[in-house]
Amino acid sequence: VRWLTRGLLLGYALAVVAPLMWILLSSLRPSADVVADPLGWPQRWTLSNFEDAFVQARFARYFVNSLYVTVWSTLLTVLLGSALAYSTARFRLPASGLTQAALAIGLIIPLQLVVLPLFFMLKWMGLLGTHTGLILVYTASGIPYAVLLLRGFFWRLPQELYEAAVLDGCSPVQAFWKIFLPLARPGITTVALFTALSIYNEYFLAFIFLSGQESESLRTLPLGLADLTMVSQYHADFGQLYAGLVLVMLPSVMLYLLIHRYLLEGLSEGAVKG
Amino acid sequence: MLTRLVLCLFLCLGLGLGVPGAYAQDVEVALFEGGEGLTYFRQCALELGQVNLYGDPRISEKLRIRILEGKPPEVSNANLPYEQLIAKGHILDLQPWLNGPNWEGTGPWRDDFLPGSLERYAQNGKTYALPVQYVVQAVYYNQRLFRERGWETPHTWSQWTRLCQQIQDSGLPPLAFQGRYTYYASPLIQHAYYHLAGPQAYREQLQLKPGSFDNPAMIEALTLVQQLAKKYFQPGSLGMSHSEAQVEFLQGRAAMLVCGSWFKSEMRDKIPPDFELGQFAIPAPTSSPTRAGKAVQVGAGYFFVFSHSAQPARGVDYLRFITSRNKIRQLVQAQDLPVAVVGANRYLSKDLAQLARMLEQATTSFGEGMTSTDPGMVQVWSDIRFDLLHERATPAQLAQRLESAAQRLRQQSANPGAIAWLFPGRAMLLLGSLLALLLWGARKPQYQRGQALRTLTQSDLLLLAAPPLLVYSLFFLVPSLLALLAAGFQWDGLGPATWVGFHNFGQLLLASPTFWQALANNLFLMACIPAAVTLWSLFFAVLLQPNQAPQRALRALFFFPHLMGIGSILVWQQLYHPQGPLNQWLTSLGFSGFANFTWLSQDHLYPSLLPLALWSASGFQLVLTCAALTQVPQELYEAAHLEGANGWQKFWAVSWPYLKPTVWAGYFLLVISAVKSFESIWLLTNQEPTSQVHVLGTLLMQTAFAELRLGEATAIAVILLGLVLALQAALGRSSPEQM
Repeated sequence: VRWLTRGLLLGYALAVVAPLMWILLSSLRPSADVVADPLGWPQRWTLSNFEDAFVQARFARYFVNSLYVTVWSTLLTVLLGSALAYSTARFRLPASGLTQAALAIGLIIPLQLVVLPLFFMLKWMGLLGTHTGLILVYTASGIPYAVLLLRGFFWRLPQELYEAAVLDGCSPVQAFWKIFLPLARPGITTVALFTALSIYNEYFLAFIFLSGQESESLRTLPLGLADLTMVSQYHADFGQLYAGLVLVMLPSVMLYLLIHRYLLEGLSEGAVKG
Repeated sequence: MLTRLVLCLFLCLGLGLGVPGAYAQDVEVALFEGGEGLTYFRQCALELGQVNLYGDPRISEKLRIRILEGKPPEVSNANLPYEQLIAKGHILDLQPWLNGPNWEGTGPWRDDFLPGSLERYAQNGKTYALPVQYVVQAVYYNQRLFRERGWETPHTWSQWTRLCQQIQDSGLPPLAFQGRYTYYASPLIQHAYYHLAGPQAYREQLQLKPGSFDNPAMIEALTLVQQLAKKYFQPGSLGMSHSEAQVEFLQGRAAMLVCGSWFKSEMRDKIPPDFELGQFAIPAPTSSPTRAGKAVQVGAGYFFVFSHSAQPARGVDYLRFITSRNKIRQLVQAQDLPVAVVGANRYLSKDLAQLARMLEQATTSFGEGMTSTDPGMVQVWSDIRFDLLHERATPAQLAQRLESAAQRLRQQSANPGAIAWLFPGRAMLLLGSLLALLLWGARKPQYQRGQALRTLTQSDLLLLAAPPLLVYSLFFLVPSLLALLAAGFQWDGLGPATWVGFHNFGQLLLASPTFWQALANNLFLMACIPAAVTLWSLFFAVLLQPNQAPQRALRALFFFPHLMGIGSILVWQQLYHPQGPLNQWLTSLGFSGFANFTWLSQDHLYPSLLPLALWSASGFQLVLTCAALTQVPQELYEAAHLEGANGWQKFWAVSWPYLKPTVWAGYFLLVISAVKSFESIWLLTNQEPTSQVHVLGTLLMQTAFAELRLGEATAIAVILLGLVLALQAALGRSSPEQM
């Protein structure tokens, strides 16, 4: 049984790693070689695919855009989310039942429902085809999740802390900023990482809100990648696409290697304490 | 401090607004970029000056969104709903310019175009489109091979099939075929029908006249094409994209290929130096050999000017420039591409000599590209061609299906407000079960309440709770509410909207087979993927039970694909390539059936999603399940062990009660995400799902942006919301310990 277990786990591990390795190796081979022998070990190495991805497919530009959108959306989501989580966990808000119901429904509403009205609202506000518009939409759709996950953290912190802060002359805002926010850091980090990774990979909303020509230079990495699949098909040349995939995955892999322990522990804790 | 930070944030965000409007005075030309590239058009843009020209293979998707944005470019040739745009006055009438002088000033502009080529988009004395590339459908063949083997080019269909048999017998596949895109079978079908039924009947079919589909000539035409595909198409070709199939032909792995006259220019870089390209007319299926080649099937690449763009007149100038007789020679010579301008096609190279001769000798021309077709037939035809090539229906059945689709379209255009009651039973069943689930699951929500909650002062409230609530309401709640309202309107995003009440829902639930197909696909995903992923992750979570370093490392590894987003879809798209690594690996293991297996074709797409889902979604479930397993008290296992329980009994009696809430919640999350699924189908079908493979999410996109029926699209979204709400209610009811 022991060996069977090990065999199965090894098989699963290989199945996860093999496709990624294949993309990595293929991105380092001339496209013609990959077509001739998809599974062969590279005979000739080349970096030209990466050059193409950077120069022709403007991946450097897309990367900067993705970074900008991801960083700002994550910051805003986490900041606004924790402010709301703190105020709902610690204080009685006017119409708190309504607020909580509104947040709960936000977890359920499919993005497809929101996207068409939002398109015309953003057009009306002049935010269509801008990073600002996209960041605000990401933030709005991220807030319910952030509040759901963070409320528990603020809740579990002892009430005495707050009383002590008030005695020291802190206002509720100062208490949040100076005491509760730093104390909730483990939870906030987990939420921030998940938010960041999901925004970094987000395709649907970016596709709808950044598709105009003026947005050409504003596109994010997932859009660039999806474009590349079509371009590669027309040229029957997939090298650029492999390189693009590697470039997109690289930051997530590195980030993940650094913090996977933290991430999974945060996740497990959340799951168990529900 | 906080105030300052928030202010800072918004200031920085403001910087993002500075970018747009950079090209305000240039004329914008947005073109579809196929394999032949945009070199000529770019060069013209440079020479003319102040033209911002760009393009890519997916330009039409982006332009659809830009048209709704109200900011069209001046000129485009992308695939857009032009009939609708013309009807709404969004396309400029080129008539005044066509009657005026051409670029050189040697005569009226309209005289520069080949006869008939301006007619496709001409209505009521107005001309809305300008032909540039000229498309002739022909059979390309490997001339050297034909010479060496003594094969002769055929004139009739029966000579052609005999030739195919001969080639087949010599061990070579006769015909390469671009099977991923069924469009490429269209010239064959049309050609056969034109010759079998005659020009009059052919035109009547395009006008959807009664009886013009379900007739012996049509059945015969479909039979001929089906037989040809079955016997003589290269094995595996039904899974090949156009470039792949065309490379097969050029590499000498098939003797012939049917393609439009863009072939040479599209494949320029891929033609081996010693390859001798030849063309002959698609043979006519009648006994009289003189008819083949006399009638050529033609079309054209049309360019449009948008009347609501910033400077439409300058857009027309760009078109006058690129179609001037002196200039367009460069396109013909550089790209070896026939064009619709008189006199230019004599500059084609000797590779296309036979094609040029075909054009010269033709006494008449025909083709979809020259006559207006009902946009409603496009999807119908695409499905019919698929079933024809894959032998999923007999020609007689297909002819019948075409006829009834045409009948439906005729009725619809005669009476646009009416809804056909096709699916009353299903509609009742769906609404009934949604309602039942909601009623059964609904209960008064209970929210966490703190013990000693204080009330916030107004200023603190403004600082802490107001900004998040404002952003959330404005960019999420308000649009959701608007969507509920918008579902009651009929609106194309261009003109005014009209209130139609529940018409959109009626149209979807009662009269749209595509909607029900999409819903069925969603149900398939909801039934299969969550169950498989849950079982898979449960199994591996149990295998990973001792919580030690190696197990933790494996868990982290299995989790990773969850973070890849659309990356995982694109990776699997590559793995699933017919000549890709997965098939290579499987064949090398001895499963020879997987050589050229088409994982992503319409028939196999949904089962193929399963490995992808296991790969990308299991990790998340697995980590949660492992976390739940660590909660099981060790003493219970020991007690069970003392009682003599086996592994299976231990699992059910000891672990399962602890796992159930987590596993159950994870399962429901997966079901809900299966309802919302969009990206996997959208990307794996290259953004154009056929009506058989839509899910509700992709159908919504298609309805909104490709068909410009925004009210109906929103109605789909509302039905999606109904599904999710009902499931959520059921979840709340069935696992009270969660939430």
